[in-house]
Amino acid sequence: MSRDLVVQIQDLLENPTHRVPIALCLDVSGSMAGEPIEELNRGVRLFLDSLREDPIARFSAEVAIVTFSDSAVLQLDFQSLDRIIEPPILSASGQTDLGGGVLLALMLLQNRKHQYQQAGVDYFQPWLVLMTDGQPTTEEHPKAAEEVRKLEREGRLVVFPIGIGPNADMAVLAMFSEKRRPLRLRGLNFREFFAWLSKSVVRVSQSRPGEKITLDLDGIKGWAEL
Amino acid sequence: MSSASRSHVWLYAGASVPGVVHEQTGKLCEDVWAVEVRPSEAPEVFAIALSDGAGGARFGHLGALLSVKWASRTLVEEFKELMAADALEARLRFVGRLRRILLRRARKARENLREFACTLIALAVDSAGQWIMFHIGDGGVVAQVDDELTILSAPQKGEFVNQTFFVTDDDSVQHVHLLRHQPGTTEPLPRAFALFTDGIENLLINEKNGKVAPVFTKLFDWTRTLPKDVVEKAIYENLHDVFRPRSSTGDDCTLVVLVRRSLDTE
Repeated sequence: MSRDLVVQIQDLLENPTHRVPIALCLDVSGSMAGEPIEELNRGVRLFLDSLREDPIARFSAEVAIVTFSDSAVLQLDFQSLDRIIEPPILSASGQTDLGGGVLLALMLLQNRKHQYQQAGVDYFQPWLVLMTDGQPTTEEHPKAAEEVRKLEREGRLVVFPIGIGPNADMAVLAMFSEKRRPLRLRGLNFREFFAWLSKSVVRVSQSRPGEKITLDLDGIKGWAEL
Repeated sequence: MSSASRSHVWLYAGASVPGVVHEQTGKLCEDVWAVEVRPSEAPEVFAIALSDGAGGARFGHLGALLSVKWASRTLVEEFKELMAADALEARLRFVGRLRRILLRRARKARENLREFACTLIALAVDSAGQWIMFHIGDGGVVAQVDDELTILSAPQKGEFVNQTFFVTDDDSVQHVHLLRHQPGTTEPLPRAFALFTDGIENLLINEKNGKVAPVFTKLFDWTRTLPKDVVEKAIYENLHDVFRPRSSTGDDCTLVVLVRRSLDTE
């Protein structure tokens, strides 16, 4: 190509990348102590690292982490992956305020969308990943579930309810989605789950208008009890 | 009409490259464009149509191909009628008919119309200085009016970035963006137009603040002054080497340029 007919970078606009906001809403109650919480920490780290390795997702995926035990706690607010130097190290104790955790995650997602709108940044449907190993110990989960189902029904939220271990209350998790039945993690396959999740985010970040995102069903077999 | 009686001619150049994601998965480039010219009678009409087959539609590429062929031909054949019709009639005559054509094709193939979903940008100009544009879906159109670059039509999106409108939608007639320029109006005739698909829209315009990438001035100058094959090679290579690696979507990239060159300067 003739040097005279080359487009320079400064000839183009530098618009913000389209974003995929993902809220991880994670159970860190006392029953998660020991190996489960260690595996969860490794899984979260792997999730962030895998997203960073993808050329499109590394700029589009934004992750927030909310944990719930005696109360809901914001562990990591939404930000681009490059700005997360070290993910929070989660520790387990206390009860299971699942509803409080979900409501906090929804509020964060709503705030983030508002920030995108203010900044003129385009975005995909937000994702909510809900993981628990037990039963809620507070009364807020029906209200939270109703709100999640409403957003899902309107096509404004993608929900992944995941049970951890044999004591996870799958009936409660089922309240959070009308489109996707809850899946139970096989053993402590957190890393396999988060590897699958990062691949799914990559698919979304590369999706085009009108495209129905098909999740890697074979990949689910690697981490879920089916 | 002989060129001696005209004050200007329209020249075009364009190219497509498959997006990174399509190339990785071995899929076809689903962007398609077509050009039609009616030089035989006065005033000469020149039409360009550009379409992007929807990602999730099994026959999106075919829908796009049928759409650009029909749209470019119809614009030159019915330019006068489409210019004269009221806005709703023009929408029905153009997009409504195209949708019915795709519906017939889908029924013949025993497929759902959604499987032929595609966007459409169609623009026609005549040598008398009239122009008409239909746009449904993402992608966009930029014009050069005097020396200013302006967004003529911005991508149509819902709340989420992967939501847009298609020719095949039930209510596509309502969503189509129609612009027309009649002689005698005070607005000057653009000196150039550029049509592009969503693979590169993020690098070219910001519809929220109205900014347009300076690259268009360069592309318009090339098209006005250099042979078409040289410009098309340059557009292709720049799409491949400069635009595509910076595409935020990894989608197919298409850019078509149409410029008015004054014959007085020849």
